[in-house]
Amino acid sequence: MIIDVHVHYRSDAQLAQALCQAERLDMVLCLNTINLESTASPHFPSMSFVTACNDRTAAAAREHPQRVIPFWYLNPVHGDAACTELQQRVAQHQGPQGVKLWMAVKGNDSCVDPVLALCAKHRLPVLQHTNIEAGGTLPTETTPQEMREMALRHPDVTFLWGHAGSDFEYGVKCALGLGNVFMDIGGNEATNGYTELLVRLLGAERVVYGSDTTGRSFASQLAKVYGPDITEEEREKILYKNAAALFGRQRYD
Amino acid sequence: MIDANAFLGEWPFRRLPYAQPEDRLRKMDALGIEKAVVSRLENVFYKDLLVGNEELHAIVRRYPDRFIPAYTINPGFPGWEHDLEVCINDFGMRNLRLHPNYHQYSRLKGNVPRMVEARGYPNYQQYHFLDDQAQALLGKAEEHDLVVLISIGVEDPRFAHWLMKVPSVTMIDAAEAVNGFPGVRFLVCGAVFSEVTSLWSTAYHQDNLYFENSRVQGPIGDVDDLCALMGADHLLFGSNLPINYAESAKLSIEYAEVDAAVKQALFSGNAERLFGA
Repeated sequence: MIIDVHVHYRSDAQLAQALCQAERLDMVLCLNTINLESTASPHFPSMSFVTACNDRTAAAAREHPQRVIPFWYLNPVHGDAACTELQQRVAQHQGPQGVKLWMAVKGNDSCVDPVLALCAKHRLPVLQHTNIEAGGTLPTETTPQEMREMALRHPDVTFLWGHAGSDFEYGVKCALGLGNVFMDIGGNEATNGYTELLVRLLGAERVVYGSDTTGRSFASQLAKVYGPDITEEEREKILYKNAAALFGRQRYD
Repeated sequence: MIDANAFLGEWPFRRLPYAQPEDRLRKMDALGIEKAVVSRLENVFYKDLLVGNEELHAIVRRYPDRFIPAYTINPGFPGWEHDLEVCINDFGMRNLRLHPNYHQYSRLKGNVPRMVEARGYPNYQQYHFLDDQAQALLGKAEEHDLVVLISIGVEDPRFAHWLMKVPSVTMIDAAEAVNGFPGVRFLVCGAVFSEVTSLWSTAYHQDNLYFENSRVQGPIGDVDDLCALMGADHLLFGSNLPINYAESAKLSIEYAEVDAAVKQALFSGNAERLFGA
């Protein structure tokens, strides 16, 4: 079994393709949607756009309950409306689920706090996109340093650290000593030594498999699990055991 | 399996496993890779490329059944003709590796404003294939029937050192080489999916144009889509070791929804044909 904590889809055709491959690989997809059918993904989505995205996620979760764990996309800038959206999704779904935060606002901005309070209440893991690279970051992208601040300020929330910071060598250093984060290895190229470094500095208990498909292939991102020089026990933790434990302690009521 | 794109040697910014020949052979054995086309990784950065080429030649002589050398030449650096001559006459060179982006020579040559503007990197210029020296080198490649490996990019730019922001070779530049020398067999290395499809669609002559899949790491269905676009004869398995996990390229082909015969072509048949391996 595999749990992929980081999956998007651009079109229904791509979702079908991802589900087909997930079936073959015995993989569960933590699915979030940040675009409508074949549209771009706006960095600063309106509330109605977010709701429409989550409707797509909810539909996929309903149709494929064995394969899809919904991650509700939120734009915390919308304040109470964002919280209401989350409350309603949690009440309706009543199963394993999580939250996706992208780049509408930095994760350590105070406007994110109410959303994170709800995540703590329902024990929803939060997948936060992070990025830092020599080429630069966008103004509202959350850097690994800001991700660290976010994790320290919300010790009762479990964070999935998207892309391990993008520059994984930078990201992993920022994650040192944090007990409420899991490094999501998805999205960047399958670079030799990547996973070994995360495991060496944080332990396999703090690493989870994510692919960032459909932009990436499952194969290239699974290479970060099957390629590294780590033990089978560590591999299993990264592939599914760590993520399964997260969902196992959720409260839905 | 034949690995169509790999390097031996150290990378200055990160300690990488499988950088040295003996470690590499163990990894190749574990993955079922019988042979690998290799260049000296240090030659991405060396100025005197003959040093790296000599080291590569010494390694290949120890393991002639496992490594197929692709020697690196920089047409932007003085004396490249001499390096080429040594590689051909003394090392039996059959394959030529080019790094047009890393081997920039803006301090040595006049500006090429089109290149600068295209990339938004104000201090960056690569050599481009319309340059006299690059043209001369490609002419030599044609004369000696060399397979030309054009490295588009070597690593994920997200991981670049802050002083080494090297953009990928543009597909316009690559097309200049491919379109200008239809008689030369080109293996385009380290291109991502969008670069492969872009170059394929702008190449006037596709018969001698090949790609390897080490940095084709998405989107979903990438290998299937490339086979549909180009046919199965133009894509080769390439690991980009030691920079990348070789499993990425391997699993990408294994998971592709294509015939077993197609997978065999990608894993070895196409490389056997291209390199005479």
